[in-house]
Formats: sequence, C-alpha cells, structure tokens
Amino acid sequence: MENAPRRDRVMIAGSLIIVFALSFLPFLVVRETRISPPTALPVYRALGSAPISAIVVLVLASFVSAMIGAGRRRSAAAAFLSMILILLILWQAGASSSKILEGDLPFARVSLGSGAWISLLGAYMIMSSCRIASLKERSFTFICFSFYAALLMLFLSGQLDSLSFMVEFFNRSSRFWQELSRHLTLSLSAVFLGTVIGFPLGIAAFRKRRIRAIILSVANTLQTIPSLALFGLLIAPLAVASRKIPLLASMGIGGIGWAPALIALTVYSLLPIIRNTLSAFSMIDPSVIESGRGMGMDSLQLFLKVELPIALPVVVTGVRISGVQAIGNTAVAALIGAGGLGQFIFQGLGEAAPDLILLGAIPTVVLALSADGLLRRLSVALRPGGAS
Amino acid sequence: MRSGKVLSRWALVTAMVVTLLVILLAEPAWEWSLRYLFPGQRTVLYERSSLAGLAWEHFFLVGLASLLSTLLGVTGGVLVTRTGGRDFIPVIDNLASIGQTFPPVAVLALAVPLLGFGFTPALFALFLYGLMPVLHNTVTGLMSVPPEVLDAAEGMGMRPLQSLFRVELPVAIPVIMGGIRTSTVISVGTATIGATIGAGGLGAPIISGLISNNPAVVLQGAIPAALMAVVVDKVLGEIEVALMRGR
Repeated sequence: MENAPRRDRVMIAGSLIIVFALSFLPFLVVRETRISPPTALPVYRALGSAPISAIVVLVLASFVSAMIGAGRRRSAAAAFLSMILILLILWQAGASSSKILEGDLPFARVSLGSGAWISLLGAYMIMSSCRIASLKERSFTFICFSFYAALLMLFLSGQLDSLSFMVEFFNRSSRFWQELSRHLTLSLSAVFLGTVIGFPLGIAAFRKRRIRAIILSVANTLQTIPSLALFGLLIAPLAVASRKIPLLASMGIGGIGWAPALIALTVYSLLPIIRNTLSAFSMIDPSVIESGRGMGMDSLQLFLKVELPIALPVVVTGVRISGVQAIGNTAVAALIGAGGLGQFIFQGLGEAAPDLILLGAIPTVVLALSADGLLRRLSVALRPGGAS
Repeated sequence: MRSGKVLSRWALVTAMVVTLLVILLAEPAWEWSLRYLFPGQRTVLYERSSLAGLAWEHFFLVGLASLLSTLLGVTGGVLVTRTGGRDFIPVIDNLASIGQTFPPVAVLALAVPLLGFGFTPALFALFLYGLMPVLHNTVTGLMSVPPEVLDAAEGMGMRPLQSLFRVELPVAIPVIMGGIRTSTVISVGTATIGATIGAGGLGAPIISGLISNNPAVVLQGAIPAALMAVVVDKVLGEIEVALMRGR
C-alpha cells in the first residue's frame, strides 16, 4: 500500500462491538420448555474460562492489528482471525447448550442471545471489510472456501444439535425437506415463467418505442402492490373460475393454494427482468451492430452472436433480483395455503414458538443469500471477455 | 407550456389521493358492492374496526418507520461521507446489499423472538429494513457531488457545515429522495404482513378473511392496501421528479 500505515476504523469498531455485546448482552437464552418465558445467560456463566480466554485473545489480536495499520497481508490475516472467531462463538454456544440439556434441564430450549448475534455481526463486519482489501491475495479465495466448508462441517458434526433451532429441525426434519423443496419449486417456476414472459417483453420495449412506456408503467404498478394484497386480489376470481370450469378444479387450481401464489410470484418477477433486458439492449453500441451487419450477418445471427452475448450478464442480473424477491415472497404465500418455508414462520407466530419461526426464517434467508451469490457469480462469468 | 404540464401532473396526483380517501371512507359502498359480489357470505365487512381506522393504523406505522429510517439513514450517510468515516463505506455497501437480499417477512418474523408481538416489533422491523436504502442512497448522493464544487464552496470561505447544508445536501437530495421512496413503498407492503404479528393495519382483514375463508373480507383489505402502495409510490415519485427539476 502506498499510503503510510493508518488505523483501520472498521476493525476497531467491529472489535468494540464484539466486546460490548459479549460483556453486556445475554449470550444464550434458556427456556425451560419450548414456550416458557426466557432467562438470559451472560457469557461468563454460559462458557468456561478456556473458550472465553480464546475469544479475548482473538478480539485483542484483531484490535492490535487494526491499530498497526492497513496492508493486504494484514487484512487477509485479520479476516482469517474473524472467521475463526465466528466459528468459535457458534461452536462454544452449541457445546454450552448441550451441557445445559445434559444437566438438570433435559426439555429446555437454548438459543443464541442478542449478545451472540451482535458479536457475530461484529466479526462479520471485520471479515467483510478485510475481504475487500484482500481480494487480490490469491490465498484468500482458499481461506474463504475453507471458512464456508468449516461452517458446514460445524453444522453436520452435531456440535450445534442442542441449539433450539436444530432441535426444532430434528423434530420435523421430514416435513422440513418437503416444505423446502416446495418453496424452491414455487420460486424457481415463478422466476422461470417470469423470464420466459419478461425477456420478450423487454425486447419488445426496446424495439418499439411506443409500447415501452406502457409496458414499464404496468409492470411498475404491479410491482408496487404488496404481495399479500396481490395474493388476496387473486383469490376471488380464481375461486369463481375453478367453480365455473371443472377442468381447472381437477388440476388443483383454486382460490387458495399454489395457483394464485404462482401467478402473483410470476407477476412480481416481470419488472426486474423487463427493465434489465431493456437497459441491456439499449447499452449496446450501435457501431458493434453495424460492423456485424458489415460482416454479412442477418438479423437472427446478429441477435444470437452479437446482441445476446453482450446483453446476457445484465439480463442475468435482472433474473437475480427477481429470484431473491421470489424466495422472500414465496414465504408470504404460505398464508394462502401454498406451503413452503413460510408455513413454519406463520405456524410459529401462531403458537408463539420462536424456534419454529427461526426454522422457517433462517433457511429462507440462507436460500435468498445463496441465490444472490450464485447468480452474481454467473453474471460475472458471462461478461464478455470471460470471468474476472 | 412546461409549467402547465407540471401542473397537470400534480392535479393527477391530487386526484389519486382524493380517490383513495373517498374509497377508504365509503364504508356503505363497500358493503353494498361486496354483498352484490358475494351473495353467499353472511358478513362481508371486517367487524373489529372501520376501514378508515385500519388505513390510518397502516399509514401511521409506515409513516413513523419511514421517518425514523430517514432521520437515521441521512445522519449516518452524512457521518460516513466525512473524512473520518470513509473507511465504513465498503462495509455499509456490503451490509446494504445483504439487507436488500433479506426477505422482509423474515425480518418481521425475527423481530418477534426479540421484541414480542404488536406495534413495536413491526415498527422496529420496518425501520430496520427501510434504513438500508436511505443510507445507501445518501452515501451515493453525497459521493456524487463533484470535487470541483466542493473546492469552490471551500474557496468561497464556507465552513464544512455550511458546505454540507448549502451545497452537498441540495445536490444529493433527489438521490436521497429515491432511497426514501424505495424504502417507504417496501414498508407499505411489509406492513400488510405486520398483521400476522399483531400490528393491525390493512393486513388485518386480509388475514382474518383468509382464516375464516371469506374472500369478501380479504378484498376489503387487499384493494385499499394495493391502492395505498400505488398512491404512495406516485406521490413520492412526483416529489422526486420535482426535486430533480429544482436543483
């Protein structure tokens, strides 16, 4: 780095957040049964002295490294430290909760307290700030990969099985996989249909100036409507249609269930795809098309060999936005009987059972984040000139 | 000619707002048309509260959440773009993009284990979810002020605060307004789901109608919620355009 070493404020803030959260906020929350009132457990009562000193050493190390100053190597090292810290906090929370369950409270539910969550956020802050600085370091991709692998191992190893969220999962694991696959099917079909309909509409909007405003303002208005309201608006007409037309009823299409959910989710995926297709094709330099035409390409060849490859990364970005949105809205669709992970969320809300809420909400978030990450990477890989 | 066009756009917005208010207050008309459409249902209206009351609950929740997101988001954005805070910009960008990926319903549901049921957790979730677009746009807007402009302000002898209020914020305000609009429109939608955590609002008839299998009551919540979202988007969009033109 060319500028003189200076303090890394983000890392200092991150370390302070961790120290504050662990000293003043509950690390674990224990409830004697699934729905009894919670008692908070601070970190010094939840963990033994060895893990606490390990955490203190790690936080001190990142604090010291933040004070020495910036640098690529140092950033990679600090990111590595914060990853270890995340794994350590999770692992120790799991270990401590199994100790509680094996002890005098076998039916207790132990979940992460606000202190644990906020210290994880602080560690993540350090990790993400260092990641940007150390992206060019080759070894860093490997470190990141090992982190996710270790996180997965931690889940699979059974170390976290005593945390309430995992207990809830084991109690209904077969239903969990069923709802997860339903959730995925519904979201994927909606985005697929949205792409099949939205892409041609986007191209039409690009080629015909006159219909552009109409397509965009209709899609924009539809996007504005709250998802629950759109589901509600579809119930009555679909119920009538299925009563009048027996064929629809025999296909399982009715006022509630998957049919209104799929229609509404598809409608929502349209706008991002239309808008991105339109702007992708508008971005193409006319001289590129001219030179293609000069090489004797007809319009189909031009479209497939010149326009489409240039436009595709931006179109995929539209698909990404639609996909992330669809995963979230599918959770809401559980309210109209479409199933999916939202089922757990709303059942948990109804029973005032926080663990069940988490069982629906956390996988939904993970699903959305993974879809975002995968499609982001795809969009970069499709960029002309290859992956970078 | 140009001012006439502007005037007619505002007339359209005013007409939309008035229409929404009339629809919200016309309870007898709702009853009459829902009875006509659903002759089989014994009750066609949500009984625990008037439509206007529900709409006000909804509007109040969204308005308060947006106000809080705006206050904190703009303040945070200003702090982060000062010399001492620039290190935080990448982290904020990163958190904002993760925040956008989080499904709103998950944020709402996760607020319950922390804060329980009712108005407060819904307010907190809407505020938190709405914060990121405002913060992100404030940073983008303030960073887009050309350095020559800042130099000129300094050359004229402006102190940092004067330069912020007289030069930087006026240049950035249309972009900031765009963030406020995004966050508010999302809030109107998320607030409908707020009924599932006991926050009331226009989602209440939808949920209650779904539970009692009464499509008439569902429509009584769904139509006003959809209209409110469209009208709020239109009004804020018009303000955004006006600010863009005024700068």
